[in-house]
Amino acid sequence: MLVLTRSKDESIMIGDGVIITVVDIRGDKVRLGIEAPKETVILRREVYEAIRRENLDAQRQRPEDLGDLDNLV
Amino acid sequence: MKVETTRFGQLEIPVEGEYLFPLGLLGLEELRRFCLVPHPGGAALQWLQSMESADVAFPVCDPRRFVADYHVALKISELTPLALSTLEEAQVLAILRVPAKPDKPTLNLLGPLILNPARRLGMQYVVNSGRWTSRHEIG
Repeated sequence: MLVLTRSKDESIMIGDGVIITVVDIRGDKVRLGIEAPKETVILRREVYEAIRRENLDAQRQRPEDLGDLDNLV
Repeated sequence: MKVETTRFGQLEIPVEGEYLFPLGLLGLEELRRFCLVPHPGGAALQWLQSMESADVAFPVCDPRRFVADYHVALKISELTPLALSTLEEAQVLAILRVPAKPDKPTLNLLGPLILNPARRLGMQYVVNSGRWTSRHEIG
């Protein structure tokens, strides 16, 4: 992994379309500003992982696993 | 066209029954073509069946049937793959998960599926809100 040191208001560029700027640093939290083409999907990693894991789990189910759920509706 | 599925046998899906997910679903980005199949046990649920992988299908439902106050603040600028003219055209579905009892069924309200039924396009949207999780308990 490439590791760079940046200070507040400094940026890094990724390719020719993405710029990430350190907007603020407070304690152990960093606020980042991200400029990217609008078709670029930007997600917090833990959110991506949660949805990915959920998708992979959900697609293992079979109709009989749903039991009497219909009665809830 | 004929679609082989492990759960529902061979299905005959008309051309207009196909949904294209140009970005796939998170973790399954390589699968793009899906169709909706009625749930054998009741009309409230459907299955989003991959037309490219016989074994991949997700139970889906209208999340508001279970969670009346579920609301997604959609932005049309974040839905460009759906080619929507207005947000009113969008249909929201949530993937359902039913674990073994005593665990309760959950809906993935963090990553709902947004469809444009008129154009037969879909995508998985990531909700930018701390309120909804990928395992929202129902029932």
